[in-house]
Amino acid sequence: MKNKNLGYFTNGLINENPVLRLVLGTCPTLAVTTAAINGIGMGLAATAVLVCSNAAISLLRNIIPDKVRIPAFITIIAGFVSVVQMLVKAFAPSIDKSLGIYLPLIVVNCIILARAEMFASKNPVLPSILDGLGMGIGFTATITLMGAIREILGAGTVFSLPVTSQFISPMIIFLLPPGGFFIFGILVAVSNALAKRKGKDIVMHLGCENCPSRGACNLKDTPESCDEKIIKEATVNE
Amino acid sequence: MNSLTAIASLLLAGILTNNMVLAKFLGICPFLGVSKKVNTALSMSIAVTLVMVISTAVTYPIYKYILSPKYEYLETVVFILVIAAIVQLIEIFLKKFIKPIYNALGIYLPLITTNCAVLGITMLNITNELSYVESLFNALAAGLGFMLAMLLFSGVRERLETAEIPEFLKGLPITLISASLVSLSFLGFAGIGG
Amino acid sequence: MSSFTDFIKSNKDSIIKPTVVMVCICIVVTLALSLSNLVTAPKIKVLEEKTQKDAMSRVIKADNYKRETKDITFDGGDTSETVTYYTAKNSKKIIGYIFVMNEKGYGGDVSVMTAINTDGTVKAVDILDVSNETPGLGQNSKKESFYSQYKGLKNNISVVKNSTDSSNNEIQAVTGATITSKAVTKAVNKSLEAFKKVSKGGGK
Repeated sequence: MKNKNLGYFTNGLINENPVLRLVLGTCPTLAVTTAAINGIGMGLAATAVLVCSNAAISLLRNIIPDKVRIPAFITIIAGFVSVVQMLVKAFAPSIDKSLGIYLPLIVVNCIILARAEMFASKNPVLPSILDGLGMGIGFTATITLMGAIREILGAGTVFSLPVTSQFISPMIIFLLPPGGFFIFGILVAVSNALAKRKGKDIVMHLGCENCPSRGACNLKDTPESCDEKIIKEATVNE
Repeated sequence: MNSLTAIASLLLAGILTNNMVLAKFLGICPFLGVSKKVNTALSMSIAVTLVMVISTAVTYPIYKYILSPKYEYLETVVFILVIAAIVQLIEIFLKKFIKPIYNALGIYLPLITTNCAVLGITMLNITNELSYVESLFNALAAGLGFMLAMLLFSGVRERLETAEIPEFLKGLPITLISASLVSLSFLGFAGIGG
Repeated sequence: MSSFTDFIKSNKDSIIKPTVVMVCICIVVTLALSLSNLVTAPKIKVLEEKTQKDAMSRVIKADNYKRETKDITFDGGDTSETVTYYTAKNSKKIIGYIFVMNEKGYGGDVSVMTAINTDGTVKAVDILDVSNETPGLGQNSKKESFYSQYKGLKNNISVVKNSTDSSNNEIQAVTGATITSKAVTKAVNKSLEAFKKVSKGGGK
């Protein structure tokens, strides 16, 4: 039993790392990772929301009717996000400033809705909390790493401490949007290579099986991408 | 006259310099997920633009006359629920009354509720303290910017289908790296209308 | 009437229950939010005031700061704007004015605090918020080497790039961030203009 619980927790760290394996929450991953410290701030805020919403949704899983499942989840998540937003404003205003609009946008961070839909609505409270914690820490670690890489290449510092800025002129492009896409691409390539060595599937596309809107789409579970399903549906409709 | 230039600069900024996807990183999921074909990319972005403008039209007065100044902390909750409801209503309306458009856009609509670009633009309009008309144009510009990015990128991806790609970059990595190049080209617009 | 009750009965599971559950969730969430707002709002306000005060004492040291407002029509504008400013006083004597101006930068508004001596020269400038600007470029305007350039300047400050002599009323732009530098300069110039109208007392 203990091992199983531990499994729920470690699942999100590596095997199902939300950013690199499930490819969820790409917007904040790209947007706030211009500095390592932003990664930690965003990651912790999202983790707090994820754990709370997973717990609440798991508690209410038998009460919420299937029909209003998605709006109910969104309301609960938005509630927690607003609370976190207020707390950050009151206790860590500098993080509030550097995250800006991306802080309230945690509401639409797919990781949270996806875990509510995929896990918390089907599992008891303790595993749901552990799942949220694992996913949250996996998310935090990955975006902090990405923030650190972009910061060191783009500004020559890590956590604002100078590392290479003394002797290498920093490449500002890595702090700009193209650098974000590029570093993310390289990270996914590395994670794919590691997965392949371990005999696991590589990530080809944004997985529909993890897409939080899937429930709304009525698209059947198949290992295709959203693209392929939509193209198929579109041709049927025509 | 002044307001005309203001609107023109909003449109320019929204479409080119402050592009929703390529500069602000909002709406990345559909940008990466529904951009394999030019046709579907176009339909998706039309649906997004539609929802953006209608959502802004509804959320702005709600914020100005109901939430502000005492209940501003409810912004996030109210906005996301209103957007979810609007998306549903648009879907029902189209299904009932304009069947051809529903057939073309219907499957994209549910994907839009959790699109951060829509929630993002309604919130940005408030934080940037735009007027009602400016907000509507800003939403339109954001939608058109999204459309431009989607169309350009889907064109690139259609080419990628037949390209020879190094083994380790196959799949998502090459998609991201091409997105990086597309966004690099948008950096060239920096300073226009500034 | 009976048809209505029939309607409710027959739709108990598909309409009534979801509605009730959604309404309950909304009520609970709203209550929770107003509660946490009640707790955090005063803290946020105190914090904001403190940040404001810290910034003011950084640009100009004074015993007290008095908040005032005035409607000002800026050159080239059609309508008047209400400008909030602070007068810095030592005992009863005004030693300077503080303006906070927001100008459109590269990614959004930049917020700049300008302290102006009674003789109309810039005492000091503090960059309050450039979080919408590009990190590593526009955000470098927060460095002292940039904003200290404004010290002692007067009227219509202009921005130059890579010029060797930074003589009269010019400041050197932040490398690669001309737009941000211009926005900051515009805010300072606007403060200088507002100062003139405020100190002369001739509003319009």
